[in-house]
Amino acid sequence: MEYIMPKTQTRRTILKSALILAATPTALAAHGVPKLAKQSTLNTDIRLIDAEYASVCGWIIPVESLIKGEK
Amino acid sequence: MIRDFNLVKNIDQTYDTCIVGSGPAGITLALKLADKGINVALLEAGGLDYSAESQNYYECESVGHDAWPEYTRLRYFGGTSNHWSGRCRPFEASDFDKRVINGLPGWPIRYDSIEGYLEEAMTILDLSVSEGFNPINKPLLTSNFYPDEFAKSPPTRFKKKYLNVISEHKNIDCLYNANVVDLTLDSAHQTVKSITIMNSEGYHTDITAKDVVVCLGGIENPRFLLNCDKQIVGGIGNKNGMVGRCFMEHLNVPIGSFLHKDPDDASPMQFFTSDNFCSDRGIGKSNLTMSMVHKIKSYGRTHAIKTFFKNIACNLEIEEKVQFISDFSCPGMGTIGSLVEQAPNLDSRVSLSNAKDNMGLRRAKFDWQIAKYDERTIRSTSVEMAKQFAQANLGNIKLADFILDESLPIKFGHHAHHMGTTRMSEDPKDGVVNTDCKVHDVDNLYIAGSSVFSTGGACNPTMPIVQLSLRLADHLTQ
Repeated sequence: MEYIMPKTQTRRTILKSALILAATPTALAAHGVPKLAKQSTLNTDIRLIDAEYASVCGWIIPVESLIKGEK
Repeated sequence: MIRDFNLVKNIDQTYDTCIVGSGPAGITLALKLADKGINVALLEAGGLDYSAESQNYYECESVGHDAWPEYTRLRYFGGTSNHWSGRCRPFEASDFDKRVINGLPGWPIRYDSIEGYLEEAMTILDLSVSEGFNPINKPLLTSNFYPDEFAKSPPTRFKKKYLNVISEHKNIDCLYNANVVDLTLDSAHQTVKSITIMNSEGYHTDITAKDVVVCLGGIENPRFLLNCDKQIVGGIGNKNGMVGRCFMEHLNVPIGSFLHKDPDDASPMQFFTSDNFCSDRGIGKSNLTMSMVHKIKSYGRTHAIKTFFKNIACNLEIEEKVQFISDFSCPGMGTIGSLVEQAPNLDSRVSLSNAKDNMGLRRAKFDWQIAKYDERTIRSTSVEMAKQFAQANLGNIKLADFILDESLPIKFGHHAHHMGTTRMSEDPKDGVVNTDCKVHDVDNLYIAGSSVFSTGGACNPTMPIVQLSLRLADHLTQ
């Protein structure tokens, strides 16, 4: 399925994940994240859906907005 | 004419057509045939009103996913139309495309064979033909989803609308409290010779008819055929073991919630998956409804259930406590409802339990199962909707954990749409009725209702049930 993280990660995906993780807290704040997501930022579950979208604790958000903090 | 079979016992008549069941399918068929001069017997097992005694006959053994089969249908004159919500949407032409899912063929007829009955069906269901089916929102997403187009029946209660018409119709002999308990075939097992009816006191008699149409709903239709096993092991129409197979529902999946970019915009939105999206992904169709929490309205059964619990809370004087506990409203949060097509699969079925009802008929054993194909439909559609919602800058969707994590079982409920258990097929090995809704191996036995659906699409079934009944009436009078 397209939204499941591949078992064998390429170097590029690992770098992208690291970038998202680093950028997430500020990006979420800028994006106006709902209460439910804020509650779980200490144990943030992030998955790449595909090249353009990620799931942050179930919230489907454009990767671009996570990295830049805006859409 | 309408008579109580508990009081009238000297029935000795031959009819042109005997219709078993007085729900939307049975009443539609009876009236259309009678208007064409056909002499009709319309048999209803229940009374004119709800009774717990009659409803008890719907008790069954449930061994798979539970779809509340005891409560989602009604056993009295008018049938389940007595509590349906009224939402109508016709099938699409693509529902009848030739395809094979889970090794089973789809519809053997094309959409144009029922399309001509749409306006007549709309009139029966008190819908405006000129207004048609309309969306409630603009096309906000990409071409993968388009605004759902539907119409809302008042909803039509067939008892209220048609009881007097049937009572006064010279060509209809309607018997209520008349339980059809058996069919007797000729020696070649090719023709129904007589229909045995029994009242609650055990009195029974036989009537005869040129044609017999069974219209008892998606669970009772197969149950009745399977119980008719005195001449054929396994029941009538079951030479290929297909009676009761392929039970389908519309899946009601709590796929998640959403946060609208504008919390003050509480307009509900309804989307339907596009044909291209479904065929590209190899999945079924879906209808997704998005409503803000404080704007959710309930209709029909849901409304009745809510009212029931509200009344209990009031009677116990704990209404405030219940309201406090159940108040989950968060400003700006919305809920996503879904009606997802379930594909036919042989493992989802209605068979017979060893327990018997008071008429001596074995009760239904209900085993509802979904397949990998359905799981793919649910997950793929949910993720795509969440992506499109964000892309359109409408806000964000939070998907349920089981959507993203395939190791978790999918949570789903039902929509009280019972379909597929006497499915239509070209080849007798793939179904129970042929393209005329005639049981494959019996010359004068027909089935009406959603049990003949080969696939169920993602539309509410009452409209196509009525269309197919009108089509069957034309066939029987050709």
